[in-house]
Amino acid sequence: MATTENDIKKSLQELLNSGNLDFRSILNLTKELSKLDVKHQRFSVDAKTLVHLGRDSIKDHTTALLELVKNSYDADAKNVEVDVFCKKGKDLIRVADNGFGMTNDELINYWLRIGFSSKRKSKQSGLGRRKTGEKGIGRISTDRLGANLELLTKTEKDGIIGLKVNWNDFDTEGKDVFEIDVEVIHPTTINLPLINGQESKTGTEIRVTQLRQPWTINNIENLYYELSALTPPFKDVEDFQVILKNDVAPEFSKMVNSDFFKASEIELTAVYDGTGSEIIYTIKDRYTKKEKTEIIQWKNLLTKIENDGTTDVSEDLRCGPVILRLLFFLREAASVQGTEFKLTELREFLDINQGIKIYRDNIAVKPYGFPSSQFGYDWLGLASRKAKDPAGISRGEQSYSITPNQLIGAVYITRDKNIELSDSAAREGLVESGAFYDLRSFILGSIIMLESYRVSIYSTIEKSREKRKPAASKEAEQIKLQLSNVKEGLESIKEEIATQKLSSSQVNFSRPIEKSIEQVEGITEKFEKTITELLNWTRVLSGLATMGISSAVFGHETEGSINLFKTATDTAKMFLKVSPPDIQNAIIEIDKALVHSRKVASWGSYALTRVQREKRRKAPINIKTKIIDNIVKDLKPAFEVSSITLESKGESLVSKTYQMDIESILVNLLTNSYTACNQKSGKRKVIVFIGREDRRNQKGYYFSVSDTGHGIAKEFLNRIYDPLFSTKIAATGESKSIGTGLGLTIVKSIVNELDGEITYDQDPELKGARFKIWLPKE
Amino acid sequence: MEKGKEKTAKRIAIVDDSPDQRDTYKKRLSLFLQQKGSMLEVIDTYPFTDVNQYFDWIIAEDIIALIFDEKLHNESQSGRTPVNYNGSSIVLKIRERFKDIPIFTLTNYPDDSDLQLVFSEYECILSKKDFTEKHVDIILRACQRYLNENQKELSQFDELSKKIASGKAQGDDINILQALQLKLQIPFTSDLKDREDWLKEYEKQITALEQIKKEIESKIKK
Repeated sequence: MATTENDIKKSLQELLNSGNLDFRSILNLTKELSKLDVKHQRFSVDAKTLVHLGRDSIKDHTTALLELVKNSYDADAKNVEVDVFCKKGKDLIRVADNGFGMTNDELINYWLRIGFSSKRKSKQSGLGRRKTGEKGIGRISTDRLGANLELLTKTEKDGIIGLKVNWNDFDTEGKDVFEIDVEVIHPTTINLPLINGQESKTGTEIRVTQLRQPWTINNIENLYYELSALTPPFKDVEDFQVILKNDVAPEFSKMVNSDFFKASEIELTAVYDGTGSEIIYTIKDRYTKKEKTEIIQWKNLLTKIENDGTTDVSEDLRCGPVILRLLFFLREAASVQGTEFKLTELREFLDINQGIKIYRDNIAVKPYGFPSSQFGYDWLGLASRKAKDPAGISRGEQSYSITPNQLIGAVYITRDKNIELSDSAAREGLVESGAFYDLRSFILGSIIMLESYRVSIYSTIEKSREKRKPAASKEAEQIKLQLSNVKEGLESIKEEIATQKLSSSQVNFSRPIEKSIEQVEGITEKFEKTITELLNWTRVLSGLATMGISSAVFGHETEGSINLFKTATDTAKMFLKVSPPDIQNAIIEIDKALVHSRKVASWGSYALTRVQREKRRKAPINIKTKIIDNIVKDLKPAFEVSSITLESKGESLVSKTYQMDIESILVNLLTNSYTACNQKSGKRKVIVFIGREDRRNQKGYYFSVSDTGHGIAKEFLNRIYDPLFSTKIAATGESKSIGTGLGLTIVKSIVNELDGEITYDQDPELKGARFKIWLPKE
Repeated sequence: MEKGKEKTAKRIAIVDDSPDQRDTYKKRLSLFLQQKGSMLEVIDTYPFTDVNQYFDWIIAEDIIALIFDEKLHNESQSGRTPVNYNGSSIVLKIRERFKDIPIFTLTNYPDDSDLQLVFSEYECILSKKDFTEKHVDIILRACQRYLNENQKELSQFDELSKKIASGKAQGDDINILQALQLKLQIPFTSDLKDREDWLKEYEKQITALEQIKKEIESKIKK
């Protein structure tokens, strides 16, 4: 190698004058020459830098491949083909698009220039797309995928040209980046996606071989769904289509699409135009099909938070103009009715796509809403919100919240109009500024809108789904009827056989038949008996459950009486032991002990007589004097302890019925009234009223239970008969629930069994709840 | 406290909505206290409708320990309708003003979840089922501790008051006194600085009087 300036100049001269230019040697010599510059020197870049930038800074091969697809998008491609072949000796990743391609100049001056991005010069593509990558990193991301890169590109100006890069050449110590040659190729053919069936005049094809790592089914699946997320599911960029082909998971070799959105329950769109206080909401659901539009002041929905926790008072949301689309899904069979999907497919789709993503210029900003991202998936904290208050929708709008896995959402922003929402220095995510907090509040507020809308339509949905099940006794009757038909049929066969004179062979034939008939008869009878017993059991169980519920409520009072009984007796003893004995006080204490021992005894007898055998038989009985008055008498002491006046009114009437059923209904309703009264201070009263009433030409009677409690909030009315639903909370308003949520469920089921009706309204006099039970009179 | 009746004994108060229970446990506690030779008295009341009434009542009745029932909202008495709070909520209210007065709960339901949530506010959770001499010992010890602490503070209060009144106050004395006033729930009658000013003013007047006297004397001499 030449060492002096003159030597280098001489060598250079020789090289330049030779017929065949040796570019590599000329470059090396000029480099040596430039080192002799005493006034200026230059940085040189180690070839390995590229390896660091490409291979090491990109998280995984899916991300690397996505970068290439993003480049296709930026190049205004309408179609992109993504191929991944790595099985059976195959070794290829190919991304081909029909974008605008690169000219010779562009390829050499732009593409080969690391860190250069034309996207920095012009932010919008020819189609008006906002370019996605800005850092000029896509090309070196191919190093993450494989060692050999072949880039072919086609333009109208320069035709097809290409480059071949072997990334492994860069993975050496001490070489300057420009010392490594990249081969320029001039192929005659290029394989680009068609446009409307026509060969594309422009486009780029990237082929990567010597793949760095094998692709698993999971990788492909992830790639597929990442690609589907790359193109917004909301049809805003339907001109951008990706077709995936691979030999790892053939089920994902298809056009990337997101038709699952047809299965959503509720669709909400919220638009904030960037200034002022108004948000426009449009909500649609799959049941009522009507679209509802509402304008809401954002202050009614959300509070702006500053970094330091104070609130901002200006009229505008700092995030700038935002469009939000939310799709709410249920993971139920009903959700896929009328769509082409199976439930398992929908669930899988939701598992992968759930979350609310931010789309800047129609390309997703990671990590927000990506299910695979640890921090990004639930960036709105919906899961922790739900965990704090896991109430289901039946609890009413105050507490119902949806879970993040039920939501798919898209937040649309642009780089140009949402300047405050800037990228954070790390590769993923936005800077958590006031603007970002406003955006998050805006989304959370919209989710609350969606939740209250769902609560408001919930009862309608439930009604449409509800199928009235026949009462168990009705079903049993049906079965009995069918059984007796079978029995009659068998009977007649038996008679037939008996009346006919049969030959011995016929006898031989008919005997087993007779035997089977007898057997079937026996089984039928047994079966009938079992059903009757089962029904009887239900009755006993309802009675016992009622007993349990009322014990839980009234039993507290008994506890007080038992304790006082014991303590007063003991205190009386103490008075008698002092010297001189305090007889007067001892007597007072003994009297108290007696009164309370009677209370305990009366509770005991009440509990013991609830499920007596005779109460389980259907018999004529005076509903007022024998049932209602007795229950009222039994429960009165318990009510009085809580200052509740309990009265029964109305006329005496007789009907054939199961005493235990009426008692179960009544005790349950009274237990509820007792709790309701205790929740309010002031005058407390419960009235049971009985009267005659005919409905639809059917003679009948009713009894009602009214109280002075708070009544039932109208939001809960649809749910009060549901099992485990309870509004019973502690008297002093603390959150603890003291109800079992079974009382009214039992009442409703008994009323159904008895062919009766149950209605609820507010008592005009006592102002609390009034439940009215109507039953046919027999 | 009744008018004219001299405050002789410190008191333990029972608050319960059930007249029977209130009466029995009051008597029982009194008997135990007598047996132990304690001078403490026991009084009882139906819960007050206005919770703020407790504050004046505690001071006026010289109460040094409180025993609340938990379920205060059940029974009504002599025309008063049931109250809308329970023991575990009133204890928080009392603690706003009386940070360290012994408060007990005497309940049929010691396992009640509301009660367990605020158990640290109580000296001890006592069960009505089993209220014996041992429990009275706990109550007595708490009362004694409360009295001792407050007596120490009362004598310090007395000493400081005298110091300030005689104009010998130094540095933080006034602040300490104010803190003690707050802790011991002694109402502020007047600002202490005013009192000092008043004394200075008073002395000035005396000096002026003396001057007048001198002037008169000198004129008489003439």
